[in-house]
Amino acid sequence: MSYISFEDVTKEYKMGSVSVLAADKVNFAIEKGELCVVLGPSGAGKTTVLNLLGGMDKVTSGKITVDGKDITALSGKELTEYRRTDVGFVFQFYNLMPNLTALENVELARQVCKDALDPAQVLRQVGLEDRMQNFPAQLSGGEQQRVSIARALCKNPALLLCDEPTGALDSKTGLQVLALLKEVSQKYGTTVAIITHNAAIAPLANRVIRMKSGRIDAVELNEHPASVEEIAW
Amino acid sequence: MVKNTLGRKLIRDMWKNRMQFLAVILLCALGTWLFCGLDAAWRMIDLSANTYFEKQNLADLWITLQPVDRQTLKDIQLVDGVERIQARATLAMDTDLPGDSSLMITAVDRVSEINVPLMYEGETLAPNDLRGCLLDHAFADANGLHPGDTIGLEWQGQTWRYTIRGTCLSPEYVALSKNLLKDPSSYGFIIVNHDSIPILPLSSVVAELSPDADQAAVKSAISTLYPEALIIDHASHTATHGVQKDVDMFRNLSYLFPLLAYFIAALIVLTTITRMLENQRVQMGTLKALGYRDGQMLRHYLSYALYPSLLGSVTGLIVGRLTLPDLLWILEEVQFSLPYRIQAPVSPGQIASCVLCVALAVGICYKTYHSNAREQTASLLRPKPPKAGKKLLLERWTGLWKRLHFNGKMVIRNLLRNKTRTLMSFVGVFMCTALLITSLGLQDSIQFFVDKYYKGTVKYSVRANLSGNAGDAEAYKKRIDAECTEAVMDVTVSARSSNSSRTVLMSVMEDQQLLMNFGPEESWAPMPAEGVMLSQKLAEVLHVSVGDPIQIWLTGDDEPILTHVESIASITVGQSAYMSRSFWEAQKKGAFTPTALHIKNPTEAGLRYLNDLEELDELIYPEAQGEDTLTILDSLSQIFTLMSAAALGLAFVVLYNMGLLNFMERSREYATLKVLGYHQKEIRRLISTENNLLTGLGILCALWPGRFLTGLVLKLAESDTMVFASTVELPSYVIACVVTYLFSLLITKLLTRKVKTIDMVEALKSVE
Repeated sequence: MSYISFEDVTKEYKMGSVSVLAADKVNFAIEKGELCVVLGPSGAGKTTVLNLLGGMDKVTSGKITVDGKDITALSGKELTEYRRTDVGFVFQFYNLMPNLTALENVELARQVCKDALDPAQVLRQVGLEDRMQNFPAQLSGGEQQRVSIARALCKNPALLLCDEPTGALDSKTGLQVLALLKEVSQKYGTTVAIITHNAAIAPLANRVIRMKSGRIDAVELNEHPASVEEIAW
Repeated sequence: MVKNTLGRKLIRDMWKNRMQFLAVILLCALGTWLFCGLDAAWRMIDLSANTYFEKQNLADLWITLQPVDRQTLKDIQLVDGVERIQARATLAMDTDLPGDSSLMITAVDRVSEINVPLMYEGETLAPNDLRGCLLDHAFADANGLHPGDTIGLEWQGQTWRYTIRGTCLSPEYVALSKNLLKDPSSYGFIIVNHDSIPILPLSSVVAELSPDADQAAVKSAISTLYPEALIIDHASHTATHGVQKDVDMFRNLSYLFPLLAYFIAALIVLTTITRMLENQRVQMGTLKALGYRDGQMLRHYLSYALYPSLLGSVTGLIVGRLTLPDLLWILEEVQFSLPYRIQAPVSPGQIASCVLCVALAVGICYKTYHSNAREQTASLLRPKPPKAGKKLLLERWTGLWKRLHFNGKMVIRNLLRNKTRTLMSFVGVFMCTALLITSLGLQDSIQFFVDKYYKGTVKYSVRANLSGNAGDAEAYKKRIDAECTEAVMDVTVSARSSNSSRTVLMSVMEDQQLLMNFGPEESWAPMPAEGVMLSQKLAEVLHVSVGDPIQIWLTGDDEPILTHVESIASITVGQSAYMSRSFWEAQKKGAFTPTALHIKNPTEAGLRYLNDLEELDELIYPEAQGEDTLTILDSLSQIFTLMSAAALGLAFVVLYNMGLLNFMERSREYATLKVLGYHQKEIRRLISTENNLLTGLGILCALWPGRFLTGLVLKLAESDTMVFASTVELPSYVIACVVTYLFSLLITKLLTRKVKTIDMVEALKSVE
């Protein structure tokens, strides 16, 4: 049994009389500790998959299991509990609280999690020991994204979901962020799922899931994922 | 075509932001409603009274001197500026009706051309009619008298009988009362021809001045001719003075309340419009990029403020004029007998208030538009970066800051980040609490003032009013079984100072009386052995203080008691004078015949004896009197309750609007928290902590201003007959705080309900 599995997952959005099939019988699996990249052009259903996996949205039909747990059967409260303890999120636009310092933004995650890591320690890990007392507006994009990753890591999640984590960053900063995510996956055995439209990132992953028009196009396994130094765009 | 598209956008924008637009409309309407309503109210009272005075040809001067003979009339007629005069005799006389009623008789010399009575029923009085009279309409009504009935007047043992030819109102008796308020069943006026009662000496002259006459010059000319004459003009006559005083009161209120309302309205319009325009940044950029000219865009965006404020203020103007004057008129009718009301035309002030309201909204809108539109098109197209967080002063105090809960830190940062919004919500809570305190404080003050008199000043448990043929004071004392019995003689007198005069009740009391506390703070004070004691209000309207000379004219007497003001009684109710029995007897104006008895703690037997007395008129209990006074004052507090309700509505709009804005602005943050695994309850708690903190602060800060406002309103509303001391009792503070808190709780509840609707997917999207 895989760590994560999607079985015939379908998501249909109804907008008035029009209904859009955002995910159409999606089937895939991710193993524990893998770094997985979900790749596809915009509108392919990547974000829908991420939302469903993160417990932010409900499936129309099908089943998603994470670590043996059927998350499609969870109630709203249980989903919150799931997000709280099992999942860490990294957003494309960081979503930091503008009026909290870097450290406080990380503390925000510790507030809701029982066995959280020490926020200052996590920030040191992502290389921000000198920027802890700064507010988001005083940080560069890359630094903000690192705070966002630190916030996700602080909860010591089993699963780290990243939605276009490099989307708002220049390539150099983007690579730093990717290196950090790779390190997390290797060092702590965290399962990391990265959603992107940038095919250049694919070689980094153990598993690449290609999506197109709400369906799985292909799933590739990399025996020997490339290191960050080897890729460029 | 272009205009059309923008017009459609305008309508859709308005619909999308309907709550905000509605708030702007409501606030503009409330502000103008209060101002225009109060403004129209005092203008209505002013215009109605003055039209009445003018139509009935109210005298310009009342000249009292004795005796008035042909020579006097000739002299006064010849004074430069005097157009017309009329001599008359005035005197308060007892009637032969059951009960203790008296009438102010005005015996006119020839046809009334000045102070013309306004006929109600029946016919006017012919100048040669020696049997007929005109009777006060209210008095006739209260006593069931009609034209054709007869009425008898008693004076010096004689009775004059008159047939009522008609009932009327008189402009000079608009405010006719012996003490606190008009009581038409026991006191009124009657107009007869002087020839029907020649024994009554002509005692006063009313004069009408030519339109261009200099009143001061006329007064001094008459004073030179007759130094002993008392001359009263509109500024000090009871009728005109009383009405003017009320007009002033409403005018004052019309400045105070709308000022508050406008202040709030301006702030909320400012925040709402600023916010709406800021949300339009990218669209502004797009329109600019499409090549729209500045003028077109300006017109479009100014419409955001123009239409709602115009609609709101015009509605306020119309509704204000239709509602408040009629409501306040009811208050007037308690004190004054005015025959009709005339709605004053729209005043420049009312139009100005509308214009001001619209100009304010459009001005704010223009400023915001300008500061946005000045930016480069390209920068407009980029979303405005969120406001950066900042270290707070409070954080320097690390000891405290460290101890704060994480949520606490977040809440404080949030509150200080958006200062305008925080301030607005604070002002909303503050105003709500302050007005509630004032409203309740007003009730407290009225209660306090009534208690002060009827429970503090008055120490007797019952007062027995006696009719004319009462016996000897000592005899009553001996026979009534009670802790203490004292005799009182009430006489209607005219108290005159050098520049004013009032008809009041003077109580002659025993030298060592113990049942009324005239001292400060309701302490006992001795009756003056010489001179008179005046109530605070009487001293005030007569412009006299301790030591000043004063004349006390008994009804129908041609020699006044010339004395001085010996002391001022610290009593809150009424215009009245007091004299000791021995000083009265020394004046040789008649025997001390009790008209009432003050009795403390009578036994059963004592009460039975009283009830069996043939001369007993009625028994009056102070508690019952207090209740009556409270009912009369009810109208005042009702008016204020109404205003407070309006203000509360205002506060609600402010608080809800601000809360909603805050919520919408931060919905992205809340969505992120939700993704991070915050429970809805936790997010709700965050919002409610913030609101509770603001509410608590607002309530605390409003306590003293509420107290202050109570005093201010009472000062503005002060009447001629009562001294209000402002007081706010503890329960009122508690009620005001609790109600405000519940109010804010309700709003928080409404807002936190929305947490459920936050879409987490929203958090993943780009900033838009």
